[in-house]
Amino acid sequence: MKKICSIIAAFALLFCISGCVDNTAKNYDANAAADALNAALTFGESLEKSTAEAAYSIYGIDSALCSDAAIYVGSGATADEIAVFNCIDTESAKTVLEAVNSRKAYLEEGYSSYGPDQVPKIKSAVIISSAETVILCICENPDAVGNILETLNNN
Amino acid sequence: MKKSKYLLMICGIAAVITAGVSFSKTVLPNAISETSTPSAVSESADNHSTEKITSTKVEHTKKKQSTTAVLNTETTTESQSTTHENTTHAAETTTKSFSDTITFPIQIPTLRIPEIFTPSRELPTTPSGEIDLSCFDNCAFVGNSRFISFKNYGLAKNVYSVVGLNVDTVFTKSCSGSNITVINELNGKNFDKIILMFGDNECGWPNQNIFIERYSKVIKAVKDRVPRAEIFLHGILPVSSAESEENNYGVNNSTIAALNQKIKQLAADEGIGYIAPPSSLLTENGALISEAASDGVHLNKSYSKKWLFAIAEDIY
Repeated sequence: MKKICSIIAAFALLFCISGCVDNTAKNYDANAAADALNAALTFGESLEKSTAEAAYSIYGIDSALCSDAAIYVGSGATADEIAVFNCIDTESAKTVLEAVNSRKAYLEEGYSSYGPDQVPKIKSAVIISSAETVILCICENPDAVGNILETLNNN
Repeated sequence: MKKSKYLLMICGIAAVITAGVSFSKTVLPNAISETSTPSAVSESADNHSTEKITSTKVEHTKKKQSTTAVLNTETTTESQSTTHENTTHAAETTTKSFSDTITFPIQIPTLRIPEIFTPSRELPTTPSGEIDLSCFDNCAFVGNSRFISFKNYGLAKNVYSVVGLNVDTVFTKSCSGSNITVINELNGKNFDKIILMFGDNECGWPNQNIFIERYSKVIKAVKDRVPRAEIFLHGILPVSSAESEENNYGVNNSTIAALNQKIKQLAADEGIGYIAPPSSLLTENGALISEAASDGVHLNKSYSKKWLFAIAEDIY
């Protein structure tokens, strides 16, 4: 009995630790997810939808790794951003996930000097990695991201 | 019979040889005397150079590196042209060959390889009448976060911009998604034009002369990497009146104006271009239009496009 409880506790702990990166198996359409997030979330400035090419360039991602990408960006006044990448396979998704984490670190370092008020928002960025979809979301209300994606799941 | 045949053959051969000899002695020398050997092949490797080739009086002014090869002929009639069309000089000569009625007009074409240059051109426009921003496809933007919107909004291709970048960290920091330092992003590139923008993040420096001194080093580093590019220093864009009053990090429009004078002088000293902050982005008192930027500093998409249009009209 003790052994069973300890095993269950270990699994529970494992799920808790991985809570910051949601590794659900659901894939999202890049444009649909980005549009839904932009429409529903709150940002410090109005974001503009940019091109997939801009997304690959900003993140330093080889476009061959992705079938599509969607990005909403700001002027630089804030760190607010939405980026959704549809990767061609799970291996590519790992590479893209690394690039997304690098982007988050880059923003945190850059804004720490000349926009320190943005740093807490960057630290609480939501990064979601499903089988072949990687999402980064920096916004004023990151807790709402999960609900919005759940709505997409149900549609 | 056979002997007469042989005799006829010999006479015919003799006649041909005689005709040939007289032709070579009379016609050919006259033709050759009307021509001269090709003269100068000139090449200029400097920008803004003017060059004259006197024998045909071809005169041109180049703005970019160009090669002109002229094959000249000195004829009895001296020709003068400032166009790049092929011209034909006809030198007529008569010769007394085996027939006085035969004339040989000699036409020596004058070949002129078209000069390669880039004249001032009308800017390309989109179907909606706006300036086509593909005119910047071979132009690089290097500088601080004020250029970031060009990249973020997909308005320009070659943007090397980092939040907080200054004239020191351009040698050490990298752009998002890259592990190459900003200055080394220019290595091996063949840009026609490079626009530099620094100064916002140096407004708070205690000694502005140090900023200018280090900016000069940045310019040298750019020249070393892309020696053929036209370099421009873009003046610091003023901030909105509200942002100027905040004076965050020493950034206010008085300091910006003073620094811009130094940047303009630096450009003159370095022999490169200076782009003044476009008036289309500014109010009457020289501040950034407040609707241009939500934080009074970083331009939104609409005003980023206006900014690029103004730059295009300035440098092309």
